[in-house]
Amino acid sequence: MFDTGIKVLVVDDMATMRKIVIKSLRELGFEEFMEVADGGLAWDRLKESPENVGLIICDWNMPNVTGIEFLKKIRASQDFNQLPFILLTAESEVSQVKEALEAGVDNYIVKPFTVEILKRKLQDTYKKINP
Amino acid sequence: MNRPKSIIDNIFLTPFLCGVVDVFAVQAKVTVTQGAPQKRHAPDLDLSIAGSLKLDCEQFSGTVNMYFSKQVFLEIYKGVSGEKLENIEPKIEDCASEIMSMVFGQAKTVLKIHKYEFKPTIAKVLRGDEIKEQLEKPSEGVIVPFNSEFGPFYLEIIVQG
Repeated sequence: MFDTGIKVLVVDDMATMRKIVIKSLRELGFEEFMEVADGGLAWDRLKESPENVGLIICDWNMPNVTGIEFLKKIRASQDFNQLPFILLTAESEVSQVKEALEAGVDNYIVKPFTVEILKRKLQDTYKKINP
Repeated sequence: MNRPKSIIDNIFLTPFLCGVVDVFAVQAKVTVTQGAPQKRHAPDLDLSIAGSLKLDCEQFSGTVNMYFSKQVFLEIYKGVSGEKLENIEPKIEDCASEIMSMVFGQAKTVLKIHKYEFKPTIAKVLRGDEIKEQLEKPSEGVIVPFNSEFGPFYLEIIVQG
């Protein structure tokens, strides 16, 4: 299972999608969230409170710093490279998935998604991280 | 070399129609039924908001829009977010573009099998006069009504002319 006591950083330029993700996480028992609208802001928030975040759920297609750019920054960072990172995408193209895996994503979720799908993706992610 | 003429045939249209049904069922938990595709016309309904997205690839150039009345949009927003509101506030407008993006994402995956390689695009929101302008564009295209328990809404595909 996964630890619902952690704080989740939710990154999406669409307020509605941030709301959907947070609502779904709440249904799974998570209570602490930080939400921002792009990868640049997410990076700033992480640096401000590095100890607080235990999981990142991030959209792929965003203006300014995209999800994949933010992921690459995270994986290149000494402080945050172990953080579980799940990408949200509206597309399920093989080339996109391959790029995300090569960049070090732990999992990805294709929109639209249900709470059950999110739960399964979280379980898979944590099983991979803590086998 | 000239670009081939953009054509809206069953192969092109069906993935969008299936995308609508799927996105509403999964994300908003709303069952919708598709009506018959028709030649473009302005629906006889007060449309308050739309999600709009440019379509651009070798075989097709145009726009896809989804139009909603206030009532239908607020019910769909309630379905996706759990929040009940009386009016379409600015903070929830992006629900229209997010739905459009998800429908396009589903359609794009299927259309890729048929060799449509769309350029990256970001959906936007239309309100007020922008909706009127879009509906009055004298371009070729189709409009497809969908029915939900809260009322109808529309998907429109316009060929760039």
